[in-house]
Amino acid sequence: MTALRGWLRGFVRVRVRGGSPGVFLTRLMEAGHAAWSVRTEADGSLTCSMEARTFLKCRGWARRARCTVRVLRRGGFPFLVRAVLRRPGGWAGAIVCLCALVCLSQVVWRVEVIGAELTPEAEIREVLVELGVRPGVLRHHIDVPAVELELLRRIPRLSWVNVGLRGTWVVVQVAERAVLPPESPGSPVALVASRSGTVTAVVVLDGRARVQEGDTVREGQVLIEPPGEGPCAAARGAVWARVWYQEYVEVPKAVPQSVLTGRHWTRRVIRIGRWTVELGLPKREPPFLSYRILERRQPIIGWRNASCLVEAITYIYCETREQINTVDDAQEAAELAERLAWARIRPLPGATREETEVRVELIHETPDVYGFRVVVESVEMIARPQPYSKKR
Amino acid sequence: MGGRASWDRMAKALGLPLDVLLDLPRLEMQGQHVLRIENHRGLRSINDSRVEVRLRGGLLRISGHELHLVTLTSSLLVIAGRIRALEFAEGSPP
Repeated sequence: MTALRGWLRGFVRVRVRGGSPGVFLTRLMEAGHAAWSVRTEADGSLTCSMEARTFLKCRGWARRARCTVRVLRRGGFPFLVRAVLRRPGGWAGAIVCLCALVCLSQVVWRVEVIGAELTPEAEIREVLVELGVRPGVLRHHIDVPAVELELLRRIPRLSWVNVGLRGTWVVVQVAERAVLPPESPGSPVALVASRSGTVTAVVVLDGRARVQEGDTVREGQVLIEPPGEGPCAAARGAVWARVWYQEYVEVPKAVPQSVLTGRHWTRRVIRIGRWTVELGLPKREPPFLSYRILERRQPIIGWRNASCLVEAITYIYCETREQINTVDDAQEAAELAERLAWARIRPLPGATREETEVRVELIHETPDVYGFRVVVESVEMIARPQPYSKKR
Repeated sequence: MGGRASWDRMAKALGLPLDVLLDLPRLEMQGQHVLRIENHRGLRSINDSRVEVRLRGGLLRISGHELHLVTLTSSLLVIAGRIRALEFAEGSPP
């Protein structure tokens, strides 16, 4: 703290020769001043640092201690400022550097597009360039609300757009529609069945219904016709149907399972950009044969766009052991089969189930496995848009 | 000394810190390497193997290798180096 205060106020490094340097320092201290980094040299002299204003007052103390005090060097903020001011090129360079920094921070350096999965990112970027959002433009030239509206208007697949100015980056976040408009605009659009089932409800907003409640439909069958023949004619509405999924699932009677033993071992690293530094020496491997790794990340330094330049990562190695769980009860196996069947069915696209009924039936059993047929019945919205022609 | 003994007894009875009541120096060491002395009275002599610090009513001799002062203010003295021994000398030093 003393040294820092000395740097801010300006300090001198002095050599004290002859007499009694200890007495000199005591006088200095008694007068309410401070010295730091006091070292004795091989020739018996003493070097120390003190504030510049202290040095101006030390003549009397040096005479009483019969010492001579000589300045070795000067340092600290006031001397630095004085040195800079004496060099016009130096402070002109500093001003130019500052101005350049301010000017360059007003310019967009990068455009990021987040959330585009179905829409090609290049298409969004192309529109952004036409709207004046590209690297090199001034930040205040970007009209954010106008860009957002124009993006929505020009790319119909987008349902929501947010343009954010983060430092020198422009981050464009987009959300896309779940039901895409037809790929070939210019032809009429009908709603067709995305899978086979029994129709339970039909709601027509625009167009003519080709099916009614209770009808059985096949995948691809037209459900709602467009209202006319024109290129902009598009059927609008919703059709719900009861659909079925069937899966055959085998459940082994002996299921190996990995369980935690409660023992754990921790490893800590610091990540700096692409490099990682191990904390704690020596680097060791976890003392377990089988384990699960939990990872916790704690950012240490983050600045503007670089959200996580330096972070502390803790890896917790939790020891596991293999355990054989036997499934003797058919009811328990049936519940397991239902869960396995769900895991296979759920990823199917468009599976927005509102009413679901599951039937699990044991169809065969061997000494090793149970075999189940799992039938899932649900009500789903099956209508999807598709280009339409009368020939169908 | 009688006065000091009574202050000592009183401090113990009241549970008050002795260094405050008796104006004693407070010494704190960090291993063998750093010694902080609060409430000192200045330096008597200094070289890289021995530092003599004046205290109230005595002298503290610190011997070791590569001794140097990190900070010297009216309230605090920090000595660093390889400290080998501390020795208290009674009586008021010149």
